[in-house]
Amino acid sequence: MPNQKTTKITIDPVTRVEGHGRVTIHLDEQGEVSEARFHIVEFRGFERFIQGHPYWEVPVLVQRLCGICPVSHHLAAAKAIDQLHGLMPGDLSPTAIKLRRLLHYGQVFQSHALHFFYLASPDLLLRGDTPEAERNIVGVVMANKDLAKRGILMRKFGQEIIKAIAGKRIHGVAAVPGGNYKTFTPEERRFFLDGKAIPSVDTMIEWTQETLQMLRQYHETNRAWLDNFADYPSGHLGLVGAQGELELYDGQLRAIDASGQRTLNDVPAQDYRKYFGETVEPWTYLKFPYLKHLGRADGWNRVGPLARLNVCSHIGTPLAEQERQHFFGFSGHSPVNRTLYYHWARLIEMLHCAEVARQLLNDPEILSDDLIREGQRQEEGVGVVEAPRGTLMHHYRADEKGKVTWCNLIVSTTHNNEPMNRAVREVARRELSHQKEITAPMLNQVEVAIRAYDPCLSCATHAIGDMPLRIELFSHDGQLMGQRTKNSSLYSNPLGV
Amino acid sequence: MTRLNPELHMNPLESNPANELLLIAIGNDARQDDGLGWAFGQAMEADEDFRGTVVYRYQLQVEDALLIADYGTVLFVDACRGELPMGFEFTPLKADANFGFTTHQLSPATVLALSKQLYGAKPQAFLLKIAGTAWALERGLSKAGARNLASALKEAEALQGAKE
Repeated sequence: MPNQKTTKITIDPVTRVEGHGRVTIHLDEQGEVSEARFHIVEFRGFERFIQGHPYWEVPVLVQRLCGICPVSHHLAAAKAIDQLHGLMPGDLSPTAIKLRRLLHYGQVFQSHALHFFYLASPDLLLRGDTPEAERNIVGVVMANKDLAKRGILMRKFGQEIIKAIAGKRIHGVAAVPGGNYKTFTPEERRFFLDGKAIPSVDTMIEWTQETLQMLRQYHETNRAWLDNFADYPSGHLGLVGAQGELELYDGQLRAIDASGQRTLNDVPAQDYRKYFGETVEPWTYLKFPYLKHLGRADGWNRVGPLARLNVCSHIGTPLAEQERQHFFGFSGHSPVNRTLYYHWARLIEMLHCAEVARQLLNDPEILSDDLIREGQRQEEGVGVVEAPRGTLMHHYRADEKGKVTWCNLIVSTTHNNEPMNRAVREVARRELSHQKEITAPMLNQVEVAIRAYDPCLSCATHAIGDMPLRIELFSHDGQLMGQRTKNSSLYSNPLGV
Repeated sequence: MTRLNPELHMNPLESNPANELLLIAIGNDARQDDGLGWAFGQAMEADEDFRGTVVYRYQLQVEDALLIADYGTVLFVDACRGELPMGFEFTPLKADANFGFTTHQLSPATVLALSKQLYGAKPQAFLLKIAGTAWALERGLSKAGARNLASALKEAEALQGAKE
C-alpha cells in the first residue's frame, strides 16, 4: 500500500471541468509496483443540474452530458421519462420502439467505428517501435488510407441514421414521453438501402465482416501479446434479452463472475437499486458501482462490448452469432477476461448493429405514424440501455407538478472505473517495476490498457484546451521519482492552463 | 477598421459560391462559456448578410474531415480558457496532426490534417477563439464571456462590411 505521504494526493480543482486522466504508480522498497491508480478528475454535477426541470425536458437536456454518445443518454432518459409518463418500455407503439432501436443501434455502430478505426487502430496496426509522434490516426492513415476512409464512411452511416430519426445530429429530438417525435419517411429509408447517396447498410455489413476478418488474422499473428496484456479476472455485466441474447436497447440485467457463474440472474433493469451500491474514493471524482451482495471488494464488473459478449448466451442475428462462436472458440475461454479482446468484441457488436439496422430498415412498420402512447403519471422512472461503452442507468423522480426532484446516473465509464484501475495496475507491474523513469513506450502501454475500455473522459466540456494523460512514479517513501505527460492540446497555442 | 492579426491577409467572410464558407461552431451551451462557439454561430446565422453554412458540434470528429473537404473556406469557432487581449483571437489555421491519449475529440488543426491526408483537401482555414471564464453546468454566458462574444461579433460585422 502507498505510505502515508503518497496517499495525500490532491486533485487540482482547475482540472475539474477538464476531465483529464492521471495515473499514479507507487513502488515498494524492493522496487515492485505496489499500487497503481487511474484518477479521473472530471466533475459533472449533472444530477443536481437537472433538478427543478420539467421531466419532459430531460431527454433533451441530458444530451449535453456527452458529445460522443448523446443518443445513449437521450434514450436512457427517455425510457425513464416514459415511466414517469406511466408507460413501461413494452407499452410504447411498435413503431416507436423500432425507431428507437434503429436510433440506438445506429449510435452504437458509429461510436464503435470511431473507436476501432481512429482510437484503437494505432495500437493494433502500428508496431510497438513506431515513434510516438506517428502513433496516431495520421500514422494509420499514412499506412492504410483506404481503411481510414472506410472508417469515416462507416461512422457517417451511423450518424446519418441519427440525423434521419432525430432530425439533426446535435439538438435532435427523437424520443418524447410515450414515444417518438417524428415519422420515418420512405425517402429516408431508401437513403440507407439503395447505396446512392452513401454506402448502403449491406455495404456496412460487408465492410464490418472484412474488418473482422482482418482482426481475426491479427489475433492469430499477435496472440501472445493480445492474450497476456492486462489479463485479469473480473465480473461482467450487461443487459440480455428474454432468451438470454445480446440486447442493447431494453432487457434484463445479467452479471457473471470471472468463471462464468451468474452473480445477477436476469433481474428487471428497473430494480437496479436493489442490487447495486455506489461508493466513492478520495482520489477520484468517479463513483465505484458494485453488486451489493458481493460487496465493494468483489462486486465490481466490467461493462461494454467484452462484458456483453461474455454475459449473453447468443446473438440474435446470424452473422454476428457466427462471429461470436468463433471468438469464444479462438480464445478457448468463456468468459474472456483479456482486456485487448474488447476490440474484437466491439467489431462483433458492430456487425450485429448493422444486421439489426438492416432488419429494421426493411420492416414496413417503421414507416407508420403510430408514434405516441399516453399513460398515467408516476413518480419515478428508471431507464437502462447498453451504451457503446456499457450499461448506462438513468433514474429520476418528479413531483406532482412534473418537476424533477431527484436524479441518479450510473454511466458506463463508472462501471469500468475499477476494471480500468486493475488494467493499469497489471500493466504497471509488468512495465514499471524496478524502473526509475517513465519512458514513452511505458506511457503508451498504460494508454493502450485504458483505451481498450474506450472511456469517455471528455464528456460535456472541451473548451479548455488540454486533455493530458499524466503518469507519476512514486518511490516507497513517497518521493516523486519521475513523471511524464502526454498532452493533446486542442490548439497549437493553448491558452491559460 | 479591421483588427485582424497582421499576419493574416485573408478575410474568411469574403466567401462566394465558388469558395463557400463553412462555419463550424464548437461547444456546449449547457456549460456556460463553453457555449461561446455556438452563440457566435447562431448570431451569424441570424445575420442576413452572412453567406455561408453553419454547423454545430460538441466536439470535432473524424467525419468532419470529410465535411470540410467540400468547402473552400472553413472557420472554426470555439471558446477557450485564458485571457486574450481583445477577448477573442482570430488566426489562420495550419494542419497539424495532434492526438490525445484517448479523448474522442479532435482539434481543428487535426481535422484539417486528416482532410488533407485523406481527401487531398486544402481549404483555407481559420480559427476564432473567444475567451471564456466560467464552465459550470449552467445555461447562459458569463458577463465576461458575453462581452467577448460581442467583441468577436463586432469584428465579424466589420469583416462583412469590408467585403461589400
